[in-house]
Amino acid sequence: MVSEIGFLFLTIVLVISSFSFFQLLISGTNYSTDFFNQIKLSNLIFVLTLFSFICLTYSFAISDFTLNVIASNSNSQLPIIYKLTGVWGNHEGSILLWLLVMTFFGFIFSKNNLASHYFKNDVLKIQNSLCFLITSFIVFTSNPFEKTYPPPVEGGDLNPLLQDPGLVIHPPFLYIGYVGFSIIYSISVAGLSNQKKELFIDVLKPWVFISWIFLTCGIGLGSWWAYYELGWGGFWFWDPVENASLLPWLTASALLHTIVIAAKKKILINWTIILSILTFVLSLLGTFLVRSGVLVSVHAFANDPKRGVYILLLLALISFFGIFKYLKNYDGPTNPKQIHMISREGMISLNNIFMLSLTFTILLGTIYPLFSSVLFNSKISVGAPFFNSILMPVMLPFAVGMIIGPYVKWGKDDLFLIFKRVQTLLILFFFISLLVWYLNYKDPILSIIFIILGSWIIASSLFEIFQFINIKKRIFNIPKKIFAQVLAHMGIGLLIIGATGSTVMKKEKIQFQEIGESIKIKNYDVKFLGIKKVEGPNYLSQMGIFNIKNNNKTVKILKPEKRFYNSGKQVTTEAAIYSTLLGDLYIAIGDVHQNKKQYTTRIWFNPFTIWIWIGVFFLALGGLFSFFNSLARKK
Amino acid sequence: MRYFFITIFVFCLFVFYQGLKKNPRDIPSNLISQEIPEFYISSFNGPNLSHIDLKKDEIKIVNFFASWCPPCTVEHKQLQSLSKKVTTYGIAKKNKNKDLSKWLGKLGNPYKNIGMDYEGLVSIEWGVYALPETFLIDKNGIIKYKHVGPIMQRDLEKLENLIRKLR
Repeated sequence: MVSEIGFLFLTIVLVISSFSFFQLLISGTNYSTDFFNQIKLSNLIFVLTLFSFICLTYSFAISDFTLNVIASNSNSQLPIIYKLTGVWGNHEGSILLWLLVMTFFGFIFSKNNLASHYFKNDVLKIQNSLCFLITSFIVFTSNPFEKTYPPPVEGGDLNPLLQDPGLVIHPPFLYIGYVGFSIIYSISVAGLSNQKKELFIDVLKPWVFISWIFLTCGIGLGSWWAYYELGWGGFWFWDPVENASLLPWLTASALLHTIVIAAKKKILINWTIILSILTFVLSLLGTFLVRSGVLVSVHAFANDPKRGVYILLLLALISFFGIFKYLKNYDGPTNPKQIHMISREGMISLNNIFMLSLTFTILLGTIYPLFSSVLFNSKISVGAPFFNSILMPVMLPFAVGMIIGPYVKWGKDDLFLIFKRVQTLLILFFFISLLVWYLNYKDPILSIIFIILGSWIIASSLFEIFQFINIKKRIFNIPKKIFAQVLAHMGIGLLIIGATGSTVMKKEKIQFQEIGESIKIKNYDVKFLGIKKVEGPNYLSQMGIFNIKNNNKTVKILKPEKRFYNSGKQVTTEAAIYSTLLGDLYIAIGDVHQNKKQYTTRIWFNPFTIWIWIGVFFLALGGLFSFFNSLARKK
Repeated sequence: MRYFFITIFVFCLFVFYQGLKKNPRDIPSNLISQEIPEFYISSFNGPNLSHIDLKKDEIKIVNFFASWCPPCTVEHKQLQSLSKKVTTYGIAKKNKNKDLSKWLGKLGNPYKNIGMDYEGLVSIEWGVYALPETFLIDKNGIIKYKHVGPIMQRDLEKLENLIRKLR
C-alpha cells in the first residue's frame, strides 16, 4: 500500500515537473509568457519527492519484499541502519535520492533572497525541467516501486561491502555534490539570457562552494572506505567510477577559483558559465559511465543498456541545451580588459589551464578503452600507471603556481617585487627541504621531491597568515577568504604528502604466517597470536589477532577480519589499521593454508596516510570559510 | 571553431551509443591461435592430465570450473548437452576432491577427464581470470575460441556452429 502511494507521488512529480519542461520548450527563459509560478511548482515537486522517498524508506524498513529492489537488495536480518541505508545501496533507490537532492536544491534556491523574482523564476524553470528529465528516467527505466510476483519470503542481501558506516554517508554526500551542480547549471544558463550577465555571479557563488564541499567530502569518504574496507591497501585506484567523480571535482575547483575573479573584476564571465555547464555535464557523463555498464569497474550496479540509452539521451539534451543557449547569447568577449600574466588573475587563469588539462587527460584515460573498443575493436585497459605518470609532471608547475599565486597582486605585478615579498619564504623553503631530505634520504628520490613540494605549499600558506598579521598589525579579524585559501591550499599540501607516502614509500609484506610467528616491518614487530571465530548480526567472522610491538613495547592489538555473510554467501575483508601521524600499519587476513597452521597475511606500512583524510578535511573547511564569506558579502 | 566542438561532441555521443552495444567484459584471449600451454596435473578419476592428452587428434573443449562457483552450476546443463557432441575436459580450480565428487554426484559428470588445479597455477597459465571459462581446441591442439562466463542457452548455438566449422 505504502509503495503504491510512493509511486503515485512520483507520478504526480512527473506531471507537475512536465509543466516546467513544456513551458521551457514553449517560451524559453522568458518570464513574461509563463503560465505557471515556477517557485510554487518547485516547492511542490520537492515535497512530493520527499514523500515518495519516505515511502520507499518505510518499505525498506518493514522489508516489503513485494518490491523488486527490496527483494534483491535487502534482507529481514539486516540491522535497521543498513535496511534504511539500503535505500541508496542500489541503482533505483540511489536515483530517487538523486532526484530528492535535486528538488531540494530547487527548494532552497526558491527561498533565496538575493535573486530577483524574475531571475529566480527562470532558474527554477530550468531546474524543474531537469527534475522532469530525471523523474521520467526513474519512472520509465528505473522504478524503485516495481513489484515482483510472487514476492519471496526472504530477500537477497545488501552487498556486504556496502554494510559499512563509511558507505552509509558516502553516497548522500557524493550526490549532494554531484547534483548540486545542477543548480549551478540552471543559474548559469538562466543567467545567460539575462541582460546584465555579471549580476548572477553573486547568486551563483555560494552554490558552487557548497556543492564543491560536499563533493570533496563524498570523494574523501569513498576513498577512506576503499582504504579500510576493500583490503587492498590503497586509497585511490583510478577506477572509472572514481574518475567520474574526480572530473566534475576538478572543473568545479577551477570554477571556484574563476568565480572569485568574475565576482571581483567582472571579467571571465563567459568562462564561468562554460565551466558551470561543463561541470554538470561531466557529472552526468560520470553517471552515464557508471550506470550503463560501458566500462569495467569495481563498482557493480545492475546494468541495463536501456538505461544507458536513456541517460545518454538526457546527457545529449542537457548539454545541447546549455551549448545552444550559450552560443545564442554569445556576444563576443564581455570585457576587453586584458589579463596580465603576472597578476593574481593571471595566476588563477593558469590554475584553470592546469585543472582543465588534468580533467581532459583523465577523461581521455577513462573513456579511451570505450573508444578503442568501438573504433578499433581492440580491448585495452588504461590503469593507474598512466594516470600516475600524467599526474606527477602536471603537479609540479601546479604546486609552484599554488605557492606563488597568493603573493601576486591583482591587476599587474612585478616579478622582482614578488621575489622581494617572498624572500623569507624562500629561505624557509631551503631549510624545510634540507630537513625533509635528512629525515627521508633512504626513500626514493621521487617521494622526497613530492614531500618537499607538499611541505612548501603548507609553509607558504602559513607564511601568508604570518605576513598578513605582520603587515596589518592585527591578529584577529583575519578575513575569511584568506583563511579559506590558506586552509584549502594546506589541504592540498597535506594530500600530496599523504598520497606520496602511501604510494611511493609504502612497504608491503605478503606471506603465510604461522600462529606465534613474528614479522618485522618498519619499526614494528607483528606477532600473530591466533584466530577467533566471531558471530556478527548477519555474518560469521574469522578474526585474526595480532600483537603490535614497537621497541619491544606492545602498542596495539589489531584484529583484522574475514567475514562470511550468511545469505549472500559473500566474503569481505575487514582490514585492521593502526594509525599514527607517521604512518599506518595495515593488516588484512586471508585464507588458511592447506596445512591448517598458516594463514595468508598481508601487512603494509603506509607512511603518512592519515594526512590524506586530514587534507580532505582542511579542503572542506576551506570551502566552508569561502561559503560563509560568499554569504556574508551579500548582506 | 564552434562547429569543431559540436562535431567532437556529437562524435563522442555516437561512440558512447555504440559502446552501449558492446560488453566490456568480453576480453579476447591472447592464447587464441596458439598452442595450449604445457601443464601436468593430477586427475580427479585417472592417473593424471597434461597438455599431451589435450593435443590428441580430435576437437575438444576445456572447461575451467569449480564446485564452489555458482555460475558453474548454472552452465552445467548446457555443458552436458554440449558434451554429447564434443569431447569435454574439465579443469577444477582450487577444488577439494570431496566437494567435487559431491557436486558431480548431484549434477552429473559431463567430463571425459578432470584435472585438479589445486593451486590455481594452470588457470594462471591459461589466462583464466573468472570462472567458468571455456576453451575450444582444434585437432592440432590450437586454441580457437574462448568463452568467459557461464555457457547459456544462447551461447550454445554459437559454440556448436564453431565446432561444426572446425570439423
